[in-house]
Amino acid sequence: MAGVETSTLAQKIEALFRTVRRPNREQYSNEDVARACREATGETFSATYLWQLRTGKRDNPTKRHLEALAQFFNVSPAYFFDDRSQEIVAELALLEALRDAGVRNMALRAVELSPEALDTVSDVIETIARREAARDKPSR
Amino acid sequence: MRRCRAISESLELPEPFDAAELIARLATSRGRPIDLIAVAARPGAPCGLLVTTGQADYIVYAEDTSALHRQHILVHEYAHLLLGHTSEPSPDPGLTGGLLPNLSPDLVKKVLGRTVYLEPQEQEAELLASLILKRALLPGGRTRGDEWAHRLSPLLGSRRANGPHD
Repeated sequence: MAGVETSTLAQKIEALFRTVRRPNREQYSNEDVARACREATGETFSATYLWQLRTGKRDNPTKRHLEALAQFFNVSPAYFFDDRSQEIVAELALLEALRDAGVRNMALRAVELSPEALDTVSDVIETIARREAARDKPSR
Repeated sequence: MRRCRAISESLELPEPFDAAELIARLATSRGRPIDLIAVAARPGAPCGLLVTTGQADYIVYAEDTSALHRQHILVHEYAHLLLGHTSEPSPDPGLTGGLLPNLSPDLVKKVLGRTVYLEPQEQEAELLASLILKRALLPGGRTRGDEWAHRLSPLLGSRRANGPHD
């Protein structure tokens, strides 16, 4: 778990690719995303440039580029800019864990969870994902 | 309220009361596993959590709390299962409720590929849990009817008591 340390720009973009996927569960390609960002901004936005952002080789994108990325992946632009950024990072991690564990339903008594508490929940869901995987291949 | 009372009174409770045993019995009768996962209590974190997957239900509970509190957490999550909260559609289409307040419902639905119900009917579960625990804590696990008979027995018993003493 990344915990509640601040994520780098590259980590944030990578998390979007990992969590938000095509309907067939494949990750979007750099070209898919770059094209959409080109169309949204009307500016140059190449697949190579996106690859550089994802790998941390560049970390100085314009505000409009980040807004276009946020729009493509359907997250608030606050993910890249605001104080709420850490909350969104934690919620995306939990969402990914829920998907990986195949969770259908969840009941909990807590109205608003802190990022730390969300991390605890994510850890628990990851534990459940491991138990689910063990059920899939029983009796070794 | 009436539904919770009826369910609570129809339950056969372990004696002495033990929530884990109660849950194990439900898993057996449903033929679907219910795993208990103990976690360390953390401030601000939920003390109990019920997670349903395609294959099993998982009750997550804070371990380092008082025995009574632990039983309460377990019985609360058990109540969700008994009431069918995890298998019936939630009346609230907001899906993510307070758990993922900063993500759009569309995104959540897209990533999970289906509707996921978070935060089902907490009040109903809590009501049933409190009724079960009340029964569990009554000496001898009396049902409500027995309890009334017990309370009335000094009055009724005055007549019956005549027999043995005569």
